[in-house]
Amino acid sequence: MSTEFSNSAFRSFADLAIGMRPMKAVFRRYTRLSSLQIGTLIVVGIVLLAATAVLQGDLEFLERNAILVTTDPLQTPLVLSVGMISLFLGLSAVIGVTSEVENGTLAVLLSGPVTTSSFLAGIVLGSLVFYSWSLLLVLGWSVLAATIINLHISAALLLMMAASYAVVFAVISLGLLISAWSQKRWTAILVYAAIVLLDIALRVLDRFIGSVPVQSESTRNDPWHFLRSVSGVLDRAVQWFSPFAKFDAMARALEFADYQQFFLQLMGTILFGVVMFFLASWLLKGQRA
Amino acid sequence: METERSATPLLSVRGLTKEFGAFRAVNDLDLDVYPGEIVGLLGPNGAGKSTLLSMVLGLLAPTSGEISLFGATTHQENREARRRMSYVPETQAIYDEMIALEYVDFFREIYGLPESDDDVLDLFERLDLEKWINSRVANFSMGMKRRLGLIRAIATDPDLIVLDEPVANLDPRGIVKVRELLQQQRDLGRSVLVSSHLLGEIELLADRVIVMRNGSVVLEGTPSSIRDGQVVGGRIEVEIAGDIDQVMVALRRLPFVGDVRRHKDLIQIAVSSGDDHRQKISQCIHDEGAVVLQMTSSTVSLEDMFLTATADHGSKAKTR
Repeated sequence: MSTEFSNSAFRSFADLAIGMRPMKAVFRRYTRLSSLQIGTLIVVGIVLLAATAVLQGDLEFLERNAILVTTDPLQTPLVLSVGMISLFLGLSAVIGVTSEVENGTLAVLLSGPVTTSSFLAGIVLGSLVFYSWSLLLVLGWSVLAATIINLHISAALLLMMAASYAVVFAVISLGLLISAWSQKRWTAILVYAAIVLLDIALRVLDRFIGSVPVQSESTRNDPWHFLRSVSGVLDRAVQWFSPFAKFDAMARALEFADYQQFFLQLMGTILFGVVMFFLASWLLKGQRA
Repeated sequence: METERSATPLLSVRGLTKEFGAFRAVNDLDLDVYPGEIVGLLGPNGAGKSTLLSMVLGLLAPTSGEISLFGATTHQENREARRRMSYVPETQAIYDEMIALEYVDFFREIYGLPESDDDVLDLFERLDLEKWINSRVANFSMGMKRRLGLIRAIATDPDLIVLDEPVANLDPRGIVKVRELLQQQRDLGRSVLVSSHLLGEIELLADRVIVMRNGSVVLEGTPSSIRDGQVVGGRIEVEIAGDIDQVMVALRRLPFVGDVRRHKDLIQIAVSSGDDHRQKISQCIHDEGAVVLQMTSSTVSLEDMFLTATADHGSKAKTR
C-alpha cells in the first residue's frame, strides 16, 4: 500500500505541475464561491467579535490580578481567529467536495482533463485566497486593538500570521481527506465535527485534569494519578496530529524565542497538510479505480 | 443511416472485465467506436452499461482488459485522451450558482479553449436556450439543464461525446432538437457513444446499436439490419387449441426463443436466430398435446430485438 501511495503521490505532484489550467478554473470558482457567501462574512464577523471578547477578558484579568497572562495580548485572539476561520474553511471544503460527488459534477470534471490533485489543489488555493482576505481583516483588527490599548504589533505576531497559512492548509486538507473517504455530505460533516470536538475535548480535559492540585500523598492507585497519565498520553497524541495544537506550540515557542521549536512545529503542520492532501487525492482516485 | 467507416477506431475496448467482489459487471467485452458514428448502447438495468461507460471515461479501473482511446492505451492520467472526450451524465451535474454561458466557459477554460464564440452561441440557439444564455442555471428546468449539459459537452470541442440518457426529461421538441444536433455532430466527424433505455430514440439516432446483457454484448448491428432480420429472426404469433400456459412454458425452453408473451388467445414468440423456426415451434406445441390453429411470422422492431436479446437465453449475434 505504501508503494502504491508513494507512486500516487509522485503522480499527483506531476499532475499538479502540468494540470495548472484546470486547477486555475476550479480555483477561480472556489474563490468566487467563498467570497460571495454571506455566511463567510458572518463567520469573519463572529471571529472578530470573539477575538475582541478574548482580548477584553485578558486585559480585565490583568487589571484585576496584576498578572500578565501572556507577553503578547494579541496572540491569543489571533490563535482563536485562525482556529475559527480554518475550521470554517475545512467545513467548506468538506461540503464542496461531497456536493460535487453527490451532484455528479465531479464525474464530469474527472472524465475530462481535471485530475483529483488539480481539483483538490484548486479548492485549497481558492480557500487560501478567502483566508488571505480574512487575515487582512484580522490584521486590521489587531492594529486597531494595539492602537487602543497602546501596544505595538510584534514581529512574532506577524510571524504567527504567516505561519497560520500552514494551519489553515492542514485543516482544509483534513476536510478534503474526510470528504474523499466518505463521499457523502452528512457523513463527512459529522466525522469532521467529531474529530474537531475530540481534539478540543482532549485538550480541555488535559488542562482540567492538570489544574487539579496534586496531593502530596498521591499514590499510583490514586484515580487522579491514572487520569493524569491517560490525559497526558492523549494530549501528546493531539500534539502530534492536531494542527491547532501545533499552532499553540508555535505561539509558545515564539513567546520564549525558541525559533527552532517554532520551525519544527511549522514543518510538522505543513507535512501534516501535505500528507492529508495527497491521501485525499489518492482516496478520491481510489474511489474511481 | 450507414456511414463511411474509418479503419482506426477512436475507442477500442478489448476483453474488458470489471468485477465487484464475486459479481462480474462487465464480462470480457469488446467494443469499437469509429470516427463519425453514433453508437447506441442498450440494455436492461444491471446490464453493465454504466460500468462500461465509467471505465471508458476513466472513472473506474477495469479488473482486466484494455481500453484504447485515440490510438493510445488510455488510463486515468492520459490527459490528452481525456481532453478529446466529453461526458454528459444522466444526473443534471450542473453548477446552479453559475449563469449558463459562464458554466460553458468554465469548462472551456478547463479544456484550454478561449471564451465562447459564435459557434457556442449557435449551439444555444439550436437547443432553444438563446434567451436564457445570461440566466442563472438554478432557475432552469430539468430539460433546460439537460440541454445545457449537452451544449457544454459539445462546446469543449471533443472528438468523442459520451452521453448517458441524453433525452431524459426532454419534451418532444427538445428530443428532436437534441437528436438533430447529435446527428449534425456526427456529420462533422465527431463520434457519439450514447447509453439509453429509450429504444425508439436509439433506433432513430444511432448508426449502430449494441445491446448488452449481464455484462456482455448480446447483439450488435445497425438498427436497419436488426429490423430487417439480418441479425435475428423476428416474431412469430401462434393461435393454438390446448393448454396455453403449458405450451408457453415449453416454448420458453427452446434455445432460439427469447421472449414469450400471451396476448388474448395468441402466443407471441420472439426468436433469436435467422433460421425459420416455425416447424420446431409447431413440433413443440404438438408435443405438449396442443394443436396449432394459426401461425404468422412478422418483422420486428428494435424493441422486440432488445427483449429477445436481453432475455435469459438470448444469444450473441453480430452484423456489419
